[in-house]
Amino acid sequence: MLEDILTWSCIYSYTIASILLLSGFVFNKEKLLKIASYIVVPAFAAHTVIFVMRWAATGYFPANSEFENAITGGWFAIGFTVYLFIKNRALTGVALFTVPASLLLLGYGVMKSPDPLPLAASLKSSWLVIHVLFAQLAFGAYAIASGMGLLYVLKDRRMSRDRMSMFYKKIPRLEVIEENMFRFVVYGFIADAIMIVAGAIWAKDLWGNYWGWDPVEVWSLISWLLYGLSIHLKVTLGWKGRRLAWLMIFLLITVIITYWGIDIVVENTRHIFGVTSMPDLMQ
Amino acid sequence: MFDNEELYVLWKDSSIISRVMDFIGFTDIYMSPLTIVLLILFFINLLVVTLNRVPVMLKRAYLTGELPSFAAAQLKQGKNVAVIASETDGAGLDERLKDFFKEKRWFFREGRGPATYIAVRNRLSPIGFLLFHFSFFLCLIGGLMITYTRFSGNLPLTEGQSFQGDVQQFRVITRDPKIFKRLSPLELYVERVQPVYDREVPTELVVGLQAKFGDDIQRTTLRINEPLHRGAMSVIVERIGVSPLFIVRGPSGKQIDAAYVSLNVLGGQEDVFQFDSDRRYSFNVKFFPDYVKEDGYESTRSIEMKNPAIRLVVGKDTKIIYSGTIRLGESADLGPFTVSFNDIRYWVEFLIVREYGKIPLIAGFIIAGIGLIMRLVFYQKRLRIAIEYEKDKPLLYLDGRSEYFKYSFEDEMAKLVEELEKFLTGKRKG
Ligand code: HEM
Repeated sequence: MLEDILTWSCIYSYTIASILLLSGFVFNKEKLLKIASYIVVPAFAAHTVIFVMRWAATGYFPANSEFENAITGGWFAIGFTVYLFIKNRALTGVALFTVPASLLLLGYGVMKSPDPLPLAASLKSSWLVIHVLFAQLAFGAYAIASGMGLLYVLKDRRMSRDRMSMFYKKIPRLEVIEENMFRFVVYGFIADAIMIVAGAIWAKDLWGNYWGWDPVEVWSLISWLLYGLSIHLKVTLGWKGRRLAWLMIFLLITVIITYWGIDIVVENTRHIFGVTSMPDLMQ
Repeated sequence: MFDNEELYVLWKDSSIISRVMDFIGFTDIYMSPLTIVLLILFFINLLVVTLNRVPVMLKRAYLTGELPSFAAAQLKQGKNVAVIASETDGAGLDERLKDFFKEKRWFFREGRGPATYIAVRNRLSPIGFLLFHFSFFLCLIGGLMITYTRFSGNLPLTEGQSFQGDVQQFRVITRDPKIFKRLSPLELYVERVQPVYDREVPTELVVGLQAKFGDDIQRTTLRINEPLHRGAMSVIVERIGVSPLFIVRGPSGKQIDAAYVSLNVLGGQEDVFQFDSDRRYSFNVKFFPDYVKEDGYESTRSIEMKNPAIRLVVGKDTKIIYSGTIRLGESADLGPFTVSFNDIRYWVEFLIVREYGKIPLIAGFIIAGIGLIMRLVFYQKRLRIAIEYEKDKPLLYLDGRSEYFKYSFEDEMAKLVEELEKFLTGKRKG
């Protein structure tokens, strides 16, 4: 009951905040952005309560259904945003990306399966917590890097025109955005590596092999390697500026394919992120 | 795309595309010669570049080579140079500098030129590059060892049944290596199998097991996610099913045949079996763990074994001679004889794996992690310091750079210079 109320409050708050952020951005109204942050911060507190309540009620890390994945994933994304907001107000532009994304996630999760389910035997492992936690961290960090890439491109485009609005003036210098973008890429890359390794060690116990060339495994490797490539492009070949920003925006696609695309398109993956209520214990 | 395997085989044998794909091994992409060539190229490239960079990295970590040479005049011309004026006459200034950076845990050395110094934070960070890139080779070695020594097979055992090391008992052997063919001696005995359900979700599968490795007998409980690892061997519980006990009796009531038949029917699917004593009869089975019949429609109330029943369709040659549902303890009358359903047990299918190479693989993972964190979290920052005297008062010139994050370092450096200034003027904190 309380969970329902909190979930719907979160959804409404994120909806309003998304609208405000978008309007503030498009019409250059600082005030709207400010109001949005006053909404996001308490909504995040409610979100935290849902997350903790779920964990306490089921006794396991919330990652057992689309709903729980949405709660957890959204929590990390908004958590990052709030953290950035506290550290440097001007960076709230990232919220334009993470708030609507979390809203969509939550909406999708609520639609699918909000009731807690008993944890299937195959998911009872401490590796699960590590694996999922780092997957969420990686996703959150990559998403923010991508958001910063977007900010970079937008500001860069504005700067090449004549007049800059207050909003763009408030966003940090391009160089700073770029460095922060790279910081999040690095963060995501390390978390991603830990996620893959933890997954491999877990797979050995559950399926008997470290690596099974499952579509989800292959795609997570591809996206990790591409992020690795992007690090090479910056560190060794000196890529920077708009080119690097676009790269970071596009690389997020590979992550999205890994997290959602495969589940939708491929049938024979051993990674099912939704419910696991199958009579055959291993499915 | 194909409805059954025969159609696929037919297509496969006749199609040119499929022959070409087979030839380059696309049907087995990660083992295909193309992939192998790409992988070999990748690793040669990695090896060459990494080896090539060993001296550079050692030098960057200030482990080999000379310290950089510079002078105050050079620093002064830089854009982002900081200047600190010291009120002292300069005596013992280098000691104080050393103290400051020691306290901050920076590496501190006198430079090559007179009155020049360098201070480096995270000096060893470049070594992380070597660790990380070389760790790929450990993973490669581990991966290759695993691939070439892996034996894996699926072994179904019913409660009360044992395995004495006879490979014939495996349902399939999915991987039989060309080297290290011999398995170390292994015997298994399944004491009990207990699935646990919570609101129709299988939350646990408990398998009581006796395992014998050579002379060493071990009693354990296996669960999903909790396999038995012993050296290079792993015993993993992979699948579960039911084995009903069927007893066949002749017209006089004499027992003709009896067997626990392992069936794959727990998910609601149908399975077929035959008795060895008379292969003309085939038995088609559908299983209801918690049987109910409502409005003439048969189904199961749950997936728990509360009221097991079997829907049996028996064919002889091509004719169906019996069709009906029997519960535990009941029998089906097939005319010349009867088949009764007398008991039910669970069977589990174990995945038995033997492979070497875990140690290099895991070592590779750990070293990769250490390397990555060393390199990307604890990246290097460096200050160059030169002292010049003006009217007997020393002036310190400092410039600095950081890897990856040049702009964020400007603030950090400004703060550092401020602290240094305070330190040198004697207003020590704390
Ligand atoms: C043929 C394969 C590879 C080659 C030749 C190579 C080469 C290099 C070189 C030359 C650097 C710059 C080192 C420096 O100057 O600081 C570098 C950095 C880096 N590489 Fe690779 N690399 C390879 C594969 C990989 C892979 C597969 C990954 C992971 C996806 C990776 C991740 C990194 C990272 C994160 C850095 C930046 C940190 C650092 O400088 O050490 N590399 N690589």
